[in-house]
Amino acid sequence: MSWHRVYAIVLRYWYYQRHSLERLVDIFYSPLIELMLWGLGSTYMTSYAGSSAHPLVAAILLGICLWVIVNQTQLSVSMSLLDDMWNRNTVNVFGSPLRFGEWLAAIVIVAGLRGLISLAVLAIVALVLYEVNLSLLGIYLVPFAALLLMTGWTIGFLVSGIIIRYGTRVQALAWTLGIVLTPFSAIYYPLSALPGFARTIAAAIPMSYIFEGMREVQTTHTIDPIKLVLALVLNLGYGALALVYLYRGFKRALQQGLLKLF
Amino acid sequence: MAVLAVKSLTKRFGAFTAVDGISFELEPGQILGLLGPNGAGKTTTIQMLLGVMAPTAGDILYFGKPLAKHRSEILEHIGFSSSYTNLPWDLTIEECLLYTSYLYRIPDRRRRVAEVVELFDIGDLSRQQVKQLSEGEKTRVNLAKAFLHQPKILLLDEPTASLDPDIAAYVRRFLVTQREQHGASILLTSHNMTEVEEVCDRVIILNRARVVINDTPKQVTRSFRKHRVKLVAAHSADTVAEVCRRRELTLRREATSITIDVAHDRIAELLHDLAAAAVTYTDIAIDEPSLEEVFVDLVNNA
Repeated sequence: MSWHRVYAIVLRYWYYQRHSLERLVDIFYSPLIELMLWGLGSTYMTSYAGSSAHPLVAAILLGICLWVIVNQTQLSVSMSLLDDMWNRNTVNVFGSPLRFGEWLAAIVIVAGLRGLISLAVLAIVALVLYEVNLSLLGIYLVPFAALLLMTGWTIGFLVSGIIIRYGTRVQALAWTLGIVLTPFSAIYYPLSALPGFARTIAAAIPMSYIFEGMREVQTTHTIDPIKLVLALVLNLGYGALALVYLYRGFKRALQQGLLKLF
Repeated sequence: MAVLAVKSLTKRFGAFTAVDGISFELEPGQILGLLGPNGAGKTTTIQMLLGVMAPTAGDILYFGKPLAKHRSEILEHIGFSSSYTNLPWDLTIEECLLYTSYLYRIPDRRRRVAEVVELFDIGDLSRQQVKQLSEGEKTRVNLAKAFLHQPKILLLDEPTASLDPDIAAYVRRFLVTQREQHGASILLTSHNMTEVEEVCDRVIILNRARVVINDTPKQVTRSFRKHRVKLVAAHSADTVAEVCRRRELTLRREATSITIDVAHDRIAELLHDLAAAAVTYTDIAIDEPSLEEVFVDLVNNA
């Protein structure tokens, strides 16, 4: 692993970011709108239910803040590949000394930073507008964020693996595949609110343990460690599978030639 | 030792063979032209040489080492430019070159970027985004990127495509200078035969996925059967025709001249026969075919 090459790719994404209004919108605009919509809706509900609804509102807004990590991270991983495909630049990138692992390390770093920056911005807005403080989660915020980053990377690898095989005609997956998981991830409501079949699906999704754990910490200030372990094991398993899928997709693309990758 | 040795390189896509067991070498400081009609396998070959397409069979050795095993180490010494690829559209020229300088770990990168910007006369463009450039400007930026790390080998796919004639001439001189001053070895594809004749030490012509010619430009044209002997021999036209008929040569009669197509190594025999037949002529010219004529003939008669 040559870190100067990893840095080169990270630097390139910084340059991209600097020039592109769409990317800034992607990072801040959509998550902020979602947070504000849920915040305003929840405030409205609180006005009927009284202060007893405040923990419920806080749980929803905390869920949105943490969900942004997954969404932005997976989007960033997928977009990294799509950017080169749209630009017809894959040959320039992989015709350089850059190794696949170095490219991957760079997009993992960029995606992680993007997820964490989005979280920080949402956390500030949630605190200022709705008095919901992410520090409620205490030290547990660290494993939650780390596990959600892993989930985001995993979804990004999976989406990139699909795109590298089937081309930009399936690029919409970059914006939609993560969202498909949200009903089963217990972001806005507890698992108990889900019907039986959905709970079975949720049990296989690492995010569901993290968001359940988040609510547990919010009410009891502690967490059943098995939730974190399960989330970690599932993340590691899916992450490894998604990586293999992406790598095989890359090898397959090499058979056709990266010039045809768009 | 050859800096690049290609051995029995083959690429198949299902039943279609894009490159069929081609072999050639690039010597240190050599400029090698890779020619061929569209679909002959030039770009496929370049992609395999760059490691962005896996060969079906065969070996690619740079500096004696297989590309498949030493990809990253080898590509540090390879520069690449192609009219088929783009640089990131949103980035400025300076940003493109700067991030590339990190990819190749170039010391004193700002100075080197300034140097290549100067070399390719793109200083005025350095703050412009790639998407704002004309095709010719993009080609120059691509070349600047390829030369940024002073590579030992350059793979240039249509290096002068879209360039104005004066800039194209500058690039040709630049390639020759790079070879002379830095010992760079260059493999280039081109559709411009004049360019190939001007700068290449050797040419490989690909047709239908195979190497059909691998020789110096001079030797290629020399070995070509269609040298032309043009005689102004108004009073001996019938005699000339008879000599040509006996030697199975084709000729064209014009108002005052006769043009005979003949292989380079049979010109002496022809002149001897004409003299023996007492043909008198007031003027004679022997034209070598251009590389372009050789190319067109090969492609049309394949």
